[in-house]
Amino acid sequence: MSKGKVPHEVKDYVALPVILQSTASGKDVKHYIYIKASEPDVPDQDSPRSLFLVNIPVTTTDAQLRHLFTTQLSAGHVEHVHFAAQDGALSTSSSALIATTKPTVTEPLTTLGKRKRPAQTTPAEIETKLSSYKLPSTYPSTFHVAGSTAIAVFLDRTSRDQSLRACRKAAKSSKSLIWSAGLAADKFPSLGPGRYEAQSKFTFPPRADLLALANDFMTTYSDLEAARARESAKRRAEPDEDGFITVTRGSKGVVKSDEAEAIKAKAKEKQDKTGLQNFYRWQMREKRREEQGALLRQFDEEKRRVTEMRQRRGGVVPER
Amino acid sequence: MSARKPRRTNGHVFKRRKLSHDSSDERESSVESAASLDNVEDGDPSNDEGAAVTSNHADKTSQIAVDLPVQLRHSRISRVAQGSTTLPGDLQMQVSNLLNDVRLDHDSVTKQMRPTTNMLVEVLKEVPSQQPMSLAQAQSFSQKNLRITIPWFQRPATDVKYTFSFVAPTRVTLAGSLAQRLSTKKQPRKLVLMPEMPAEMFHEKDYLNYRAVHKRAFYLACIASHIQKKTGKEFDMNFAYSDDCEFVPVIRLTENSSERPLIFEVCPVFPSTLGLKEKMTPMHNCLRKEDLSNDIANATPAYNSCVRYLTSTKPWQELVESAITKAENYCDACYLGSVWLQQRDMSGDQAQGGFGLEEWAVLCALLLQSGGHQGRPLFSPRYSALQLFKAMLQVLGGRDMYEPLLLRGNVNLRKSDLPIIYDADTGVNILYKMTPWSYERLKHHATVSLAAVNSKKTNGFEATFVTKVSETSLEFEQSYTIDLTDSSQKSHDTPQRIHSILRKGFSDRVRLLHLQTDLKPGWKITSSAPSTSPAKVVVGLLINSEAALRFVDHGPSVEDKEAAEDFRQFWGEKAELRKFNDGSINESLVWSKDSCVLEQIVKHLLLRHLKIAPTNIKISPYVQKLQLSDAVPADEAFTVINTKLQALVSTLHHLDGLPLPIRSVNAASELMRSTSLALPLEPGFAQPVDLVIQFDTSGRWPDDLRAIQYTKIAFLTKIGDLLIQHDRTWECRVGLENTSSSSLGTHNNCFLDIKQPSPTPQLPPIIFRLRIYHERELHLIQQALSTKALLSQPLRDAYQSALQTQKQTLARVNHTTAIRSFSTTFPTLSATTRLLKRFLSVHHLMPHIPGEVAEIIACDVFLNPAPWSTPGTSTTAFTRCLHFLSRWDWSAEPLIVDLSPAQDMTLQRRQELETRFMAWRKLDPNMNSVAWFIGTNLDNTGVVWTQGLAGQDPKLPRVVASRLTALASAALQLMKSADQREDKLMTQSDWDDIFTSSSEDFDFVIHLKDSVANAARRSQKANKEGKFKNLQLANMVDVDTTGIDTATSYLEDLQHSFGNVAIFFHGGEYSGSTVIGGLWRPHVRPGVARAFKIRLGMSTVPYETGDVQGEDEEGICTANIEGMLAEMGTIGEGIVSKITRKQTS
Repeated sequence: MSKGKVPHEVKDYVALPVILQSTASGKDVKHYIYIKASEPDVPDQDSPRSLFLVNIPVTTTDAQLRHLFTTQLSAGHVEHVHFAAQDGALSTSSSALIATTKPTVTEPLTTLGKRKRPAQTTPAEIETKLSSYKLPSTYPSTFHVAGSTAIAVFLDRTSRDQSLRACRKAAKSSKSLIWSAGLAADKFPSLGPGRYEAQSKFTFPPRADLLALANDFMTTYSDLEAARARESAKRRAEPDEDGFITVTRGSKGVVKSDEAEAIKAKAKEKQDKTGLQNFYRWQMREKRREEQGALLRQFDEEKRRVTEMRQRRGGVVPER
Repeated sequence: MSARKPRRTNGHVFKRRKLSHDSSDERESSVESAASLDNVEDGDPSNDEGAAVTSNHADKTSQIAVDLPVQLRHSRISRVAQGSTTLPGDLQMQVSNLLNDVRLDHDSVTKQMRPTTNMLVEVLKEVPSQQPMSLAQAQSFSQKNLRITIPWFQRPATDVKYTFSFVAPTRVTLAGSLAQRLSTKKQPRKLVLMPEMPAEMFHEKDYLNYRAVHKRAFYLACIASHIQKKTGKEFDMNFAYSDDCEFVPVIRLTENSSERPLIFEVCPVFPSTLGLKEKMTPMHNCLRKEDLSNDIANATPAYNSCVRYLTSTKPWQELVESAITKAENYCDACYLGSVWLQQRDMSGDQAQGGFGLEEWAVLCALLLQSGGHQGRPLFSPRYSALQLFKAMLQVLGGRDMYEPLLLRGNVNLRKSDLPIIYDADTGVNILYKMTPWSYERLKHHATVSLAAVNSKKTNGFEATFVTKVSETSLEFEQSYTIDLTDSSQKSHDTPQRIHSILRKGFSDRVRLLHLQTDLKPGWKITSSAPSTSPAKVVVGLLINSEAALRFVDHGPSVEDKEAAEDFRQFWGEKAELRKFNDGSINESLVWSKDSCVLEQIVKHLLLRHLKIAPTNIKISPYVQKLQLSDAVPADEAFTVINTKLQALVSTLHHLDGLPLPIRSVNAASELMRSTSLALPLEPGFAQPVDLVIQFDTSGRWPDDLRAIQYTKIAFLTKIGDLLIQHDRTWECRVGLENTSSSSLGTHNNCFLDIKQPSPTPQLPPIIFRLRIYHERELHLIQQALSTKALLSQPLRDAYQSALQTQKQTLARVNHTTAIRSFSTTFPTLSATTRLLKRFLSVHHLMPHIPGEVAEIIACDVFLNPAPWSTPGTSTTAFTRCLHFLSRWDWSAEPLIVDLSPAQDMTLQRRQELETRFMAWRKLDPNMNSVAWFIGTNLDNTGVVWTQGLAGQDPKLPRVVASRLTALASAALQLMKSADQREDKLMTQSDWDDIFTSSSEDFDFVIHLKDSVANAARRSQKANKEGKFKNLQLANMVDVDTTGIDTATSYLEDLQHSFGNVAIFFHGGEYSGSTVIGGLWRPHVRPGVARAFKIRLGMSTVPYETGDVQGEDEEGICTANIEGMLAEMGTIGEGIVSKITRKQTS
């Protein structure tokens, strides 16, 4: 690209150049993936055998990363890959996010939510079950945000270290790796027309699958409601340690809080309406004073606006 | 007779004074007029229409004025005392600011002009006398001795008996608005010197047959020769026509020296004794030929008034002076009038209307003396400047001057085809220079402006005083340039003839017909005057959009022989006899549907009556035809889907077996608003029509967002099944969207596509896309936001964006209803909006500017058309949209539009919106989240369409808003330069320029393959090649009708991955545009180094350290521009043809 020398390492990351081959620009372009050993603030059991990757290409799939480490660098074997949470991602737990990156459409929809109707379970249990329900994505694969990160978990620590060494070596070597070179065609993420054709298919899942999913969810949901009702009935019936009975939803005679607000507002309005208006002289006087005050305020406001407009335009000038 | 008038008034005053000693003289004399002041203040043009003027008949003496307006002017107390909140208060303040800005420092100008003026007056007094001589002598004298060609108008016959002489003027008066101290800063500095020709030079009958005018011409030649002798090079000396009026040649001296040249005009005037005003009313003929008697048919109103005017310059001056002393705001009112006229390009020059500041001043002064009931003053001297201005507009706009308005006396004048305001005291028709068309235009503008300044809702100041109104492409809806240079019938009255022919030919198709000719140029004093017949005429039309496109005209019935003969005479071979459905046999005209009817009429009539070849008539092109290449007629296509929708809605309402009764089905699509750029039924596009269905409230809905989404799926499936049962030809399927949010259920997840076969086999099917709206969702989202205080940021964003989406859905339904009703009120609204969207699309701004915003702007142009009237063609409406966009200072002003059909949005609502706007600007002064604030009666937040979803970019970022403003200004500039060209017409290539975008300004441009543009074509190709066979087998439905636009999907992917890095520009959904432009965000500029971090949000390259070897401790990197472009290409592998970068030098 230019005469200056590109450093092999930035901070404590290895800057691994890979060549992106793009038919659109017609030339090979270097892309840098920054790699280091994973050192999360809260280490977990996987962290000693993981590599932390920064700035992965937006279309990266885990097949491509496996290919990079196993085949292209002939180093360690990747067990699985965690892609970073995307901005605006909806899930709080990282494990849930991994699931979204998996192309869910490949598996039949019915298996997703097929569960036996549980006997007597607590609402919390059903709640976790409910949150596992998910509509199939309309996209064949998800792209990452530019500059995104990922964690590659290797089989073991040695395999990780071996990979990092291989990366460092590759970074220093004059010959750059070509991204996904030699990867089987069906492992590539679907791009371009293929992706959008697939999208239009996934938008309309087969009627039966969709209906089954919805029915399943609703069955579980009604279980949840039943469980909740049972629980609150129980709570209503039994006083707690202090001898109080908890007021819960579903108790008789309890109004919803928003309805209560509305009733309160209405009552206040009613109160305002009653009473003698414009009767005493002081009432009139006060009203007049209020009106005059409002007029003065309005006048000042207008004056300010006009002056502001004047300043903005430097005077009122009829256009030429 | 007129002399008696003031005395009577005095008597009246005297009587009054006896009754009440405490009040002043002035107050007395204007009690009656104060009654009409109420009208001016009320300002409702409909109910007091012409009340001030017609008060001749109404007895207004019973009404007494309430307050003294003079004391109430712009003081704080006054507003309170006035107690009026109805009038937008800052109008008064803005007017006084304007007055301060335009007021000319007359003293300094006078001082500057005094030496030259004095010198010229001296010169005028010294001109040597010439003995009376015959015509031949006079001509040879001026040729040989004076070396000047006498500026004759209508060279006198050789046998004239009268003589020509020069006698020193009795006095020289200074005239013109500058001398009367009425000039504003913007007006040309022109001073008129008026030497008065002595009475002894004239005979009793010299007012007839140009005799006085000819004597004056010789007089002028003598003066010109002397001035030439006495002055050197400091002046450019020419003959010219005063006020463009060909009877009145003057000497025009233009100072050479200063940058802003002073102009002096020498205009000899007649003595007041010349002629009898009773014999020179507009009903008399003063240019008699031997064979013509003095009858009304041959009356010479213009000549008469012109001569009268030249004899009565002194009384005019006195009149104005008395008004200045009598009414303290008179001068200010004249300044306002001057600005108002100037913005409309009206001046005293005949070619520019013949009504300028001088006429304004005189008329205003006259109405301060006369014009009211029983000859009493119509205006009170206590009116404020604004009140005087409004009263003037009311007189000009509300009173039909074809019925002569008589001032200061009573003369028997009949209705004629010329506007007349006759001053009986001097015998001058003030409007003598006006033509029927310029009067029509004046009246039109006066009416429009009066409504604007009186508007209680919007501030009419800008429209009335600031906006430049007279731009051909903005003011007129259709214009023609008629080239007269090689016309055989060319004469100075050609414009009059064109006007009367076209007026008759257009009948009710045209609301206003205006003709514009060029100013007659000045000429050298040594040559004779150039021909006064115009070389070209520019015809401007305001169209009556309902009648303009009528293809068959019904003429008179055959039985009415005379009228039928007239009709045949007028239309020639075009007239044909036809029998109509109702059995009547009428003369009629049938126009071709191929081109515009108005064009056909113009070409036919001008060829028939004036032998003007159609090739000499240039016509401004219709943009609509140029820019919207509709394969099917737009209105038909929209009507078809509207009827389909009606049918579907009624089917839905009558479905049996739905779990809940339907409350309403509403359209929420631009297709239903008739404003989509791509037409429904157009081959190649199958854009789904969004519908929103609401069910009756029921306790059976689950109280959980996720569960609601799944319930919706079940509901929609059920509806689909029922619909298929109803009609086997329909195809229904449930689709998914926003699936990433399905674990929370915040966003709507599903819709039902109802595909109906198209009415004709070649056209694509119609797809309705039904979504369920459930109020509880909004409530649950709000609850989640208010109770879960500890939501994580992404979660909070998700709920926020869901909340906004919900609000938008609701707003879209209401918006659709409103726009649908307006598009029936304004038939051209649909085409206008589509043109505007086309403009946004070709300039790649579409994804950033919601269609709803474009629609609101287009509506605004129709609802608040001031300073023009409601546009009648889409072309004009579109140019006015551009005009609005170029002038809207969105950083400091909100746009507030009342979209209620009755236009009954309260002032309070407006004020609330303004307050909200101020709050936004205070909260976000850099306009990062809201650039455009658009409040309507449907949206009291003002940002429903322009605020981005939470956690995302604003919908309409500031950079896009500024670019649009710049583009609109550039387009307007182009129109302005077209207006300054000879023919004043926008050409086809001008319009093409406006609708051509350059991709130069983008940092990079992604070119898509052509096949992407047309989804249908692409899928056909795929079918042929047998690709994706599995997909086709899995899906019985064709791919091309899924409503997915590949370019838009690709754009969404780009937005998702690179939205933090660049802003993308594209022509919009279903536009077929194959270009995506991009601008790097400021932090991604190439070559900017930054510290390495994990979450930079862009692809980077380690910074090239250059001479420093080894690794850099700091860890610096720069944006990997090439890398990111390559990645963009990778995403679009197969649809992107190439990506180009801007060449940086």
